[in-house]
Amino acid sequence: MNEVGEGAARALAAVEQARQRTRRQVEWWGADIIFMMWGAIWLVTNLVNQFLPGMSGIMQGVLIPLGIAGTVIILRRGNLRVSGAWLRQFFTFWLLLFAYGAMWLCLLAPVNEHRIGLFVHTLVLFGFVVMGIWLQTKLFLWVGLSLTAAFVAGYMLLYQWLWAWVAMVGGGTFLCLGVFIRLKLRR
Amino acid sequence: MEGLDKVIHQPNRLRIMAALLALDPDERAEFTFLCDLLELTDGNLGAHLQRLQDARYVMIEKKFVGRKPRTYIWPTARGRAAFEAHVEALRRIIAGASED
Repeated sequence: MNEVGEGAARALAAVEQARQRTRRQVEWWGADIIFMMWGAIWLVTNLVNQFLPGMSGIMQGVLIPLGIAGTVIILRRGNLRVSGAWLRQFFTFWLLLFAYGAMWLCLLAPVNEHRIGLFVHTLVLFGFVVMGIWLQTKLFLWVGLSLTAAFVAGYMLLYQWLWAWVAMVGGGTFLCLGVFIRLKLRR
Repeated sequence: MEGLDKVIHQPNRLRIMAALLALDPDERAEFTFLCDLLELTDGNLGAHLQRLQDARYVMIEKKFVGRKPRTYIWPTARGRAAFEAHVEALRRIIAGASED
């Protein structure tokens, strides 16, 4: 290839690199912190639920609102860097999903604690499955499907230790996912 | 060279346009985001954006979000077309050079 051709190839490579870097920065910015934060929350709240059930309500009442507030702040900051309609769509989706979950919890009450817990956890994971399809992100799709399968298996096979199982598998996966995004996907 | 756009041909402007066209049609990039992404100084990016705006390849909007002024940039239809034509011209050059 002559000098002109090599210059053109370098320019095209720079275009492709800028495109990929932009998409990664838009799609994954803040996701590492959000996943690590929710991984820690899942880990702590479920371990407390397993080993100190009397403290469970207080712990969830404090940590989950903190997690939601942190997520909103991070996503709003992301939307200031690249503004678009996605933030409103994202919040609308999760709000409707939780409203749907709350409706069914009210309609099906009283239900035992294990079933309620499993329903709420898998509802969140169903949100990941939908987001995986919506954003064409296989990582979310597979995390949602595999954790759902793991939680249902835990419900059937490790009933007495379900919350410890959910803490380790769910919290651990989210923490690892956060680290993976920070090291591999945000660069 | 035939088909190459003189405004976009400059390497930093080429990267700026590539970054802006990687956004979804409803998305707008904030000035500091582009500075960080492309590793350009404020002055350098500002000068290149001015050149792209003069060619009507990008739109620039300054507004206040809360109390902070923010500058958002997005490509125009004319800018998109010019960029795509430029990339196509680069591909033709590479194909031609490979045949030689």
